[in-house]
Formats: sequence, C-alpha cells, structure tokens
Amino acid sequence: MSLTISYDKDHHKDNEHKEVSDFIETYAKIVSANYKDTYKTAVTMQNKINSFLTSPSQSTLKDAKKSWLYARNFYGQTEAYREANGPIDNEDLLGIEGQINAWPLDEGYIDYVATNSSGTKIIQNGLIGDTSFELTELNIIAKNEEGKDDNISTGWHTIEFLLWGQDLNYNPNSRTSDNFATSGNRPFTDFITENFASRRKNYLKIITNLLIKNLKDLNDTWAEEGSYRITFENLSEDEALTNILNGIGFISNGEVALERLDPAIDEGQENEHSCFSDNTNKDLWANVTGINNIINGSYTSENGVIISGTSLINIVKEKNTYTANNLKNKAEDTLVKLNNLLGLYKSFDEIVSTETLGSGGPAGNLSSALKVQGSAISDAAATLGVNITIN
Amino acid sequence: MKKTVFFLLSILVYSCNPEVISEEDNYIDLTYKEGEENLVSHLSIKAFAADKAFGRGIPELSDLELAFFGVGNAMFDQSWVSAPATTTSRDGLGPIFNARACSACHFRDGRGKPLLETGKFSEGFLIRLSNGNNPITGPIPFLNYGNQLQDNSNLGIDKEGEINVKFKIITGSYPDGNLYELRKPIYSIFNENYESISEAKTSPRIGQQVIGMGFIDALSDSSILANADEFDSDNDGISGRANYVWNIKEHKSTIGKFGWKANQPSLEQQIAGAFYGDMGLTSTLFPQENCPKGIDCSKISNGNNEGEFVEISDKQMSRMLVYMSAISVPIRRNFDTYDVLKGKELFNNLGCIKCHATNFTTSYFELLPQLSNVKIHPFSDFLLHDMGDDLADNRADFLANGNEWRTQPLWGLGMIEFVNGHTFLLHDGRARNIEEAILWHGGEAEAPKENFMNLSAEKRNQLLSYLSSV
Repeated sequence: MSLTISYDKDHHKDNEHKEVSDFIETYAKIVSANYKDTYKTAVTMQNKINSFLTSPSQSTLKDAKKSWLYARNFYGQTEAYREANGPIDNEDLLGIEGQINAWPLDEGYIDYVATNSSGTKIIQNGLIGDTSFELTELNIIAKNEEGKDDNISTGWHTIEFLLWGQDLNYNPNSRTSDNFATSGNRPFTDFITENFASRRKNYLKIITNLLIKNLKDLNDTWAEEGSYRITFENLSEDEALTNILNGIGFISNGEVALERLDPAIDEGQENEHSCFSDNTNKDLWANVTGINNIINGSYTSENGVIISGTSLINIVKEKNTYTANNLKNKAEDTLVKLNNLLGLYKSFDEIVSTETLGSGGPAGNLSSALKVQGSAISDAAATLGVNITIN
Repeated sequence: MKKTVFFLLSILVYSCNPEVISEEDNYIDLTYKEGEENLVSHLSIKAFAADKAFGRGIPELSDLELAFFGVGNAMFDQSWVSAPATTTSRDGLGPIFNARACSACHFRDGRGKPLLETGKFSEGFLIRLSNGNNPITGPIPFLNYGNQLQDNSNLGIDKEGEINVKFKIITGSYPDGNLYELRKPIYSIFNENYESISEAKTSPRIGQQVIGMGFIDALSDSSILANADEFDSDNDGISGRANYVWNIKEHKSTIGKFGWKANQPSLEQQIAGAFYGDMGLTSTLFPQENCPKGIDCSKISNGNNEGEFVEISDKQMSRMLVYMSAISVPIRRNFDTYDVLKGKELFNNLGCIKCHATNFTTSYFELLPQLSNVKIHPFSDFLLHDMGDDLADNRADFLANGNEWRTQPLWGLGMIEFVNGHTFLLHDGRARNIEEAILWHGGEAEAPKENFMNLSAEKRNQLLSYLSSV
C-alpha cells in the first residue's frame, strides 16, 4: 500500500517535472518563431522604406507606412520577453531594447515640430536639422538616450515619426484639436523639397537598417542552436521560470497598464504609445496577445502555422487548480476588455480623451484587467515556487 | 559561546580537509544574516534590466496607486517645453532652467553626471548660489540670480551664465606603498548675463538616484535624532546633528531630510523645489515664476492650463508624489560571498556604520500606509557631519555650515554603474569610483578613512566589494 502511494507520488513528481520542462521548451519555441516573424516582416518594411526613399511619392509613402504597421503586429508580441533577463534588455547580452523600441520620445530631438496647433509654424531643433551632426550609424546610436530618457534617436517610434509626423488632431473648420479621425500626416515632400530633405532621407535609411540589424541579432540568438537559446536551455528550471514569469507579469502590469494606459488616460495623447500613426490600439492587441501566448502556450505565426505546447496554465494546474483557474479567468477577462476597447472602432487618442483615472472607461478597464492578470501571474509563480516582481 | 564552538569546528574541518573553502563557508554561515539583502524588508524589489533597476515600485500597491505611479513615471521621463505648445500637460518650461525633464538629471531614476568639460551639456549638475545665509529662512538669494545658476533658457531669454571647469590632480599613497590619484574640480561661472556674479557663494551639486525616498519621508524626527550627538558626548569623534529648514507647508522649521545638505524637509517640497529651480515650473508650494531681471513674466506665456494658476497642477503633483514615494530599493547582489561578508565586518569595525547607519524603522506614512513600520537599511543617519576642508563648499545652508554634509544614503551604490554607466560620486561627482569617495572623507570621518587606508590591499578590496553589493 505505502509502496503504491510513493510510486504514485513519484510518478506525479516526474510528470510535473516533465510538464515544467515542456513549458520552458514551448516558451523558447514561441520566442524564436515570434522573433523570426518580426525580422521577416521588418525586412519587408525595410524594402518598402527603401523604395520610398528612392522615389518619394504619396503611394510609396503609403506602402512604407503599411509595412511598418504590419511588422509592429509581430514585434509587439515580443515585448512579453522583456524583463526576463534575456538578450533583448540584459546588458550583458544584446541589451538593445532601448535602441529598438524606446518610448516615449521627444520628437523635437529628431526633426522639426509644430509650434502652433494647426502646424503652420514649425521649429527645427532636431538632429536632422543640425548640420554639424554627421549622420552615421554610430553617431546616431550615441545620441540615443543621451541626456534624458526621452532623447530617442533610433527604433520603431523614430521611424514612425519620420513616416507619419506629429498627430496634431487639428480640425481646420472649427480650429480645435479634436479631430481624432486623422493620424500624423507628414507630406512626402519632406523627403524632396522641405529643408534638410536629404538629411531626413539619410537619417531614416540609417535607423531602418539599424533596426533590421538589431532584429536579426535577436532572431539569430534565439534560433535553434543560437547562442542565447543554448544558454536558456541550460538554465535551471527555477531560473527559467523566474525569468519567463517576471517578464510577462511585469509587461502586463508594470509596462502596458502603468506606462502605456494609465498616463494616457490621465494626461491624454502625449502619453500615447504610437501617437504619430494612431496604431496604439493595435499595439495593445499585440502586447496583450504576446502575454497571452505564454499563458496559453500557443502562438500563431505569420504564415498561419500555430506553434503550441504546454502552457503556463497547464503547469500551474499540476500544483493548484484554484490558482490555475484564476489565471485562466483573469487572462480571459483581459482579452474581453481588450476586445471591448477594439470594438469601439475609435482611435486610442479619442478613447482616452473622455476618460479619467478610475472612471471605468474601456482603457481604464483594460488597465485594471492587466494589473489583475499581473497579480495572477505573480500568484502562479509563487505556486511554482519562484518569486517575481510585477510593479 | 556558540561562536567558540563554530570556531573550533572550523579549525577541525580545516585540519581534516585542507581546503580553505570550508573555513570560508563557515564564515559565511556565521556572518550572513537572513534577509540582509532586502534593504526595505518585504518591500524590496529585484533588479532586472538596467532601464528599470532604479524605477520599480514597491510590491504592494492598489489599482489606483499603481495608476498614479505610472502617470508619475511618465511625467518623470518626459520633456517639458516652453509655452505655448501643442501639448497642454507638458508646457511651461522656463523662462530659465537647468533641465527639460526630471530624467535629464536622474536618468533612469538614477544618478546625474558631473560637468566634465567646459561648455558641455549638463546631465544632472548645477551650481547653487547665495549671498550669505539665514538660519531660519535659509540661503539668501544672490542679487538677480537667486539660489541657483540656470544655465539654460527659452528662446529669446538669456540664460544666467555658463560654467567653466578645470581639474587639479592630487596624488597620494597608502601606508602599504600603493599610490592613488584624486581629481578635484574647480568651477567658475563666465558669460554671466545678469550683472556680476563673482561675489556669490557657490556650491556644485549632482542629482542623486531617487530610490527609497518614500521610506526616508516616512522617518520620524525622533528616529533621526536618536543618532544625533551634536557635542560628541561619547567622544568617538563623530558629532552628527540635524539640519532644521523652512517647511513651506507647515510654516515653521522642521528637520531637513533630503538634499546634499539636508536642506529640504519633505519629499513634496524637494520635488516641488526641483520643478521650480531646475525646470522653471511653478506649483502650489512655489507659485511665483522664477523671473530673470528685466523680463516681465506676466507678459510672457506660461504653462498654466485654463482655470489653473500654476504649471504643475495639484493633480500632477499628487501623481508625482506617489511615484517618488513608491519607488523601492533593489535587493543587494552578491550579498553572501566571503569577500563581501568580510567587507561588511570591516564596514562595521572601521566605524563607517556610525554615520552610514542601517537601523531604522519607518513611522506611519499617510500617503502610502504600506510604507509604515518597515525596517529599512539606508546606510545613512540623515544628519550633518563636518567632512573636512577638502570637501567643503564653504556655503552655509540653514543650520549646515560650509564644512557640513548630510550622510549620503548608500543604497543602490553598486548599481549606479549598471543603471547610469558611470561611477561618479559625492556632491559634485568628483570621486570617480567608490574608493576615491572614501579617500575624500575628512573631518569627522578622518579616523575611519585612515583606518581604511591602513588596511591591506586585500581587505580594502573586501570593503569595496561590500559597498558594491549594496
């Protein structure tokens, strides 16, 4: 009798162990596939931007913007792998998050900005207008995050600003700043006839190439047999779990809720993530989906192939059904709140223009759900015997 | 008694198995105190990426507190622009200022850099000015320039002046013959635009990392005064005393807790003072625009929103206060290695711990009650000490004389390099690393410094390892 029990226990233990290692393997597969898609779609963007720079026109600009928007869908999901001691932001590894996606940015640091609400008056204090600044990749990298946190010279949002320009929401009829239907509308002539056009072109080309290089490095290091993939596979289970869960817990609560939603709700568009292109709703979709991919152990890749395996919910269930169900419910609720927001078919700046903190609007509800989801991830971590911090 | 048994055991182990490791393991077991790496107890956080190591909130925050934290964080990072502008929440900078964003002096919530080259852009460095001092109302503003030199300005307005820096190299040697070199910066102001400034008393300052500030705000007067010994009645050569400074909100002098000379009584006044002095942003505590001579500030645009009379609204201030109060302190790294624990023993025995005190418990803290009654280890007594002539700024600040400085909290010390990519320390950033910072200690800290210098190189490194782990 006692033998049987101990056999069952051991069997259960083995099973648990296998489940945890399967979960860690699933994570690595998802990360790798996600970075691969990001790199691939960003290379397409690079080609479109090159076409635009070779012959600037309304239509080549439109294509370039479209390709930026598409690639963001994949990059946004990879943000779930930040704050996980991995190559994206561990300075002993690549540590290039700040070069890739630093935000919020002071657009006046890069190029001209409007000084009146209609945009008819501008001031040029940016790197593009500073002819004493030689445009090279190294020089531009050196300027990124130099001096203060929003001195951003590289990455997705700098490219976004150069493609779209400022989103002034200006309504020429009423002369008010509440025309939320439009996003930034930089004229393509900025790259032909506007002051510093050739420097602007050169700048955009350099930072696009840099982004591609950075994304390739991430793809390579996470690919099978890639250098970090090997390191990751050799981590102890506890360390791997801590890293993975700290990442998704922090991104859910500390990043998306605290940095991207609440400030925008409280203080408006100034704090909107993709404020030039009005792509913020889609960014939120990608961030939430990226976290959910790990909770549910499944990623839909760009070519439609689904990569799936042991989920976080699966391994928590082995330890504690209640915690697992709680995590499942909170993750589902987060998706519900996300879909409520997306279902309004309004731009994010319009949504937050009528919300205040605690008013229970769609953005606030999504923020609260993400915070609660973060706590559920933290509880799941504790159940698995590791500690994480999500604030 | 217990110690003797362990000691004997360790000798036995050593003699049976001649591996020094075992002795070291025993030492670790004996001297490591469970949880000593958590400098703010259960509210400590683990540092991951450099970007966030100094910016993470305490673990226990409600939904709304988290929201305020997030909003404050955004405000801290982002630039302010001169009014009028397309932004309504981030305008009002100037007319004269030192920095466009909080993060310009506290990059990643961390530490500023000294001015290393004349004409270079400041990244967290400023010069305080005065024309004497009043012990009740504080430093007397210098004519036309006020309490600090604003070396930047909005378009069409003259900045107050520029800063020149040169360095004097001082060489010395340890008793064991090893040489060291210190670098003393000498600043002067030139191209001043509002008449002569040559007679001003000056004091250079660096922006500090902004971690654990809520815990300091939550310290009671009595917990700070418990370490005071103004007349050195215990004859240990150390005579800490509290600064008492003007508290705008309370209309009286209260204990100074923040700033290099403990010249700010509360976190709120420290923040509002920085908005005002460093960025030219008015708030309820500092409602008057800092207006340069010859400019009628009532005639130029300000950043007040409709129906408001200050540029940092009370609403914005409330968010910033939650953010600043809730930033936690990272858990120490490498806290249980032999060298680090040896270093801890030295830190205590040499007397460093007398001022860099680690024994505090917070009092009730209304803004975030979860910060109440928490054991904290700030490595500071928050008192003023005479640090000797070499470090003196010769500029009095309330009760602090020209030789006195507040003990700098050391928490986060070892992470500055990771977060900010440099290791410049002390009030003007003159020390290029922790070792140099120790060597600059004088006055009341002369004896502990000499104790340090008399150590073997191995032991000095152990002390430095400990300090890097904090």
